[in-house]
Amino acid sequence: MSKYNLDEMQENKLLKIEGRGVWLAFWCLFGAIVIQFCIGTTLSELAGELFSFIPLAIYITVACIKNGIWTRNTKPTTKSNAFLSFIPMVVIGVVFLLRSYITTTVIFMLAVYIGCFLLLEIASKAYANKRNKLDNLNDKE
Amino acid sequence: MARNIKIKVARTELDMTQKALAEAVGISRQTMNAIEQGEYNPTIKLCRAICRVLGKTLDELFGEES
Repeated sequence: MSKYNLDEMQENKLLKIEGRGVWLAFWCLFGAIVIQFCIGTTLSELAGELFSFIPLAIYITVACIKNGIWTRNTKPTTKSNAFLSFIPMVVIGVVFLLRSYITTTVIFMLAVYIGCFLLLEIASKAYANKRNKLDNLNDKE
Repeated sequence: MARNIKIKVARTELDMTQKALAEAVGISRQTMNAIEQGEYNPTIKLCRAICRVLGKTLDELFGEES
């Protein structure tokens, strides 16, 4: 087996670089998906991007919840979930306006808002349960 | 973060270069330099390794100035 070449500072720096790289890949993929959808690419033609983007998004979400981590700047409350659901709704609204009729766009916007809100609520509950378990573990020590 | 002069002094007392100290504790010279310059906050494990090599206590090398 090869010798481990990094000390703790280099390891921390590498983790930061990798972390930034992951977010760069995440947002570039997201941008590529949105742009391609706007210019009329079909869902099957987006399969490659979605094949990378969806597992990445699911992994980050599940790993954070399993470790009792929410975001850096928001708390998992119903109010903040309701507010955060506006962002994907607006993005979908803009994307669909370029390709569909206004009625379809409004229906999709509402569906995305409700879907995102429900997903965030489920994630919040899972996070709260995990947080509770982790905090109780610490109390026992 | 303030520079850690105490490590440099202890190292000089033992006539050790930054490179020799880095090798003795198993880190790169870049990291040793960053610790002395106050640009990197080492873990307690690394602090203890540095103390062991320099023959000092944690308080002597990393304790707060009064």
